[in-house]
Amino acid sequence: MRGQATTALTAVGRDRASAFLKPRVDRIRGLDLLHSILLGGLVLVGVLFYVWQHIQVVRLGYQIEHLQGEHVALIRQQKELRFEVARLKSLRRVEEIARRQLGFTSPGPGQVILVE
Amino acid sequence: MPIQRRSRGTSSGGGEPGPSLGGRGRHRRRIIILFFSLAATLAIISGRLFSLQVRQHPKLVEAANRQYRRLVPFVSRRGTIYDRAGRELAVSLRVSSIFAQPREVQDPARAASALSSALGLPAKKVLVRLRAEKPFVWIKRSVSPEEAEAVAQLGLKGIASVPEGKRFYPKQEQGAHLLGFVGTDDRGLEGLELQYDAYLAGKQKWVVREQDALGRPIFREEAGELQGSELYLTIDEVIQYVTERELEAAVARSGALSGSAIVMDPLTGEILALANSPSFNPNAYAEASAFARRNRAVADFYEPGSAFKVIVGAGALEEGLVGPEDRFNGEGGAIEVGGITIRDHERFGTITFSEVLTHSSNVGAIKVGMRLGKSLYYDYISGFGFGNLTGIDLPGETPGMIRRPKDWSALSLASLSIGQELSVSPLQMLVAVSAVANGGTLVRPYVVRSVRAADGKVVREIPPVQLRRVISEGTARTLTTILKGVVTEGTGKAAAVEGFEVAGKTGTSQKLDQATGRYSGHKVVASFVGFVPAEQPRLAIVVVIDEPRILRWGGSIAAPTFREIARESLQHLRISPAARGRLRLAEGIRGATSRLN
Repeated sequence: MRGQATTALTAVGRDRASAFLKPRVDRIRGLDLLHSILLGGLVLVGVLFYVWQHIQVVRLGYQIEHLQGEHVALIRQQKELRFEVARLKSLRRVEEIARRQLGFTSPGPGQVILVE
Repeated sequence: MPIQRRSRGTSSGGGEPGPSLGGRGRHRRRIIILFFSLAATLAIISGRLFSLQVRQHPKLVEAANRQYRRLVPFVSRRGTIYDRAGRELAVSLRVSSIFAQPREVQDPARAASALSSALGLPAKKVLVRLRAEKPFVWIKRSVSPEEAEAVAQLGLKGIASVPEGKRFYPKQEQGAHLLGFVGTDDRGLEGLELQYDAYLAGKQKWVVREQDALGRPIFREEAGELQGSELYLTIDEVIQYVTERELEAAVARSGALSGSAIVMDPLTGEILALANSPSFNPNAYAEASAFARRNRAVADFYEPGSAFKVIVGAGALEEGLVGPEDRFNGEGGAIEVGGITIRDHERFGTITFSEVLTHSSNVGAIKVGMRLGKSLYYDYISGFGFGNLTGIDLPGETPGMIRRPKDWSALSLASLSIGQELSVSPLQMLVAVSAVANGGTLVRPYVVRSVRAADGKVVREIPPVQLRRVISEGTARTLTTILKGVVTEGTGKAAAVEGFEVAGKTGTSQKLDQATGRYSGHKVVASFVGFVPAEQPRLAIVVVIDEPRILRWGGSIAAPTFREIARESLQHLRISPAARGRLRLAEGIRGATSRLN
């Protein structure tokens, strides 16, 4: 009987304690949950940031590669054009055009006057 | 007390609902099962992770690198060659070259067949390359844009193209012997391309390229500055063109075997033009014969004949053994030496030393040589640079041939006095006469003025070099006066340029017949070497025509060629006929140095 009474008293005390502690426990659990959510959110943001910057790096890599390709192509075009200019300015070619198409002749001795 | 079994959410009495002992046990079991399940899963994952990250790590890294990273060759551009005015003479353009990474080619037979039709190569040859036990093989170098596109369209795994430099010479034949050419691997094989290959050549480097699953490049490792340096020559494109044109015309007009001509600044040694005929197109050098590709102006030698009388005359004047008006007996046009009779081209009576050179008397020159003697004459021959390299920065230069006096026969002194029994290159002859032109100093001829990096920074500057004084200014002045007489009243009248004083010497030497071992009766080398304006020399020119069949004398074919080259070159350089007075060598060199800067 004594044991039963003690059990009953303990149960009453526990109930009272539970009634007293419940809001506090709930609050603590709420805070824990909030912390967990915040922590999870932070981790998620970190992961997303990592993925985002990785994607950005790859995207910029494509852009750089593309622009480098364009740059190389333009440099090549410039060199080809310079080569073409040099080829067209070949004195053999120029003289042939001057003589055959335009009817020019070389100035004879005494026909050239140097202007100082 | 029996344990009350209560379901969750039901309550009896006023107590808090709680799990019964049976429910709590089941719950614990579930937790234990879950724990062990999770632990087992974690253990499996950990084991797998360990296997992937530790045990298979090297293999997997290699596999990933194979998939995402690729080593590609990066070949930089070969440096451009410019003339003295910055006009392009040799440039490198990008073309594609096709290569294979045989380990990545999935079906070599199919790939070989496809590449064969796209590139016009024998399929067997391609297949051999695709089956090679190498990480990298070239399939075809320097392909056309169409071929590169055709290969790209095939989309074959392990086959790709890489840009490479290919050498082009926009002026085609112009300056071909000077410039030389490069092989398919972009390395110089001849001329300046060979001589300055270490400067000109671009560098090859393997760079890492990261690519995505489709093979599109994402990143490329920086290859750095690998472009070859650029050469700025002493050559003047206009003078080079005129020299080549006139030489080609002279060779054609005289039906000669070949010809060479060089134009040099006698004060500094700068080569302004160097030409040979026949020539070749360095863009298609493989189609040209070795004869056409030979730089005879530098690499070949000939017996200079009468042109060499300048050297014997210089020695005798310098030693004070003769004066311009000293008289010699012409012996009626013939002299016997060592049992051999040497004749003049006409019968001279008594002639002065000046007339010996002016009219190119063999008898007179032999007598001058005998006054000079073996030892002194040899010293002057060597002093003027014969028998040694001039030091020009071109490959394949010949030192010529001159025997030592101890090996001379009884005839040798006489023969050498008229330019026989020795061989010289056209360049050596020009350098020697330039010493007379500049007041007595031998200069080193050179073709490259500066080597510059792609950003214009000077890597190496080549200044004019005075080698040594060979005769005094007084002797040079006297000799110049005599050589002017050669052009005004002697054998070189055809070299006269209206409005200018020209000094020079003709030469017509018989060639040695290899079959008989004697001098040929009809094969000759006709030459003229001189400078203009005589008193303020700006150009020294040598013209050598080998085996002319129609106009066989130096005065009839080489001298007029000299005149035409000189006339147009002087016009181009805007040198007025009114110019008078000798430039001192030092002033000339100072001028050249300032022009370089």
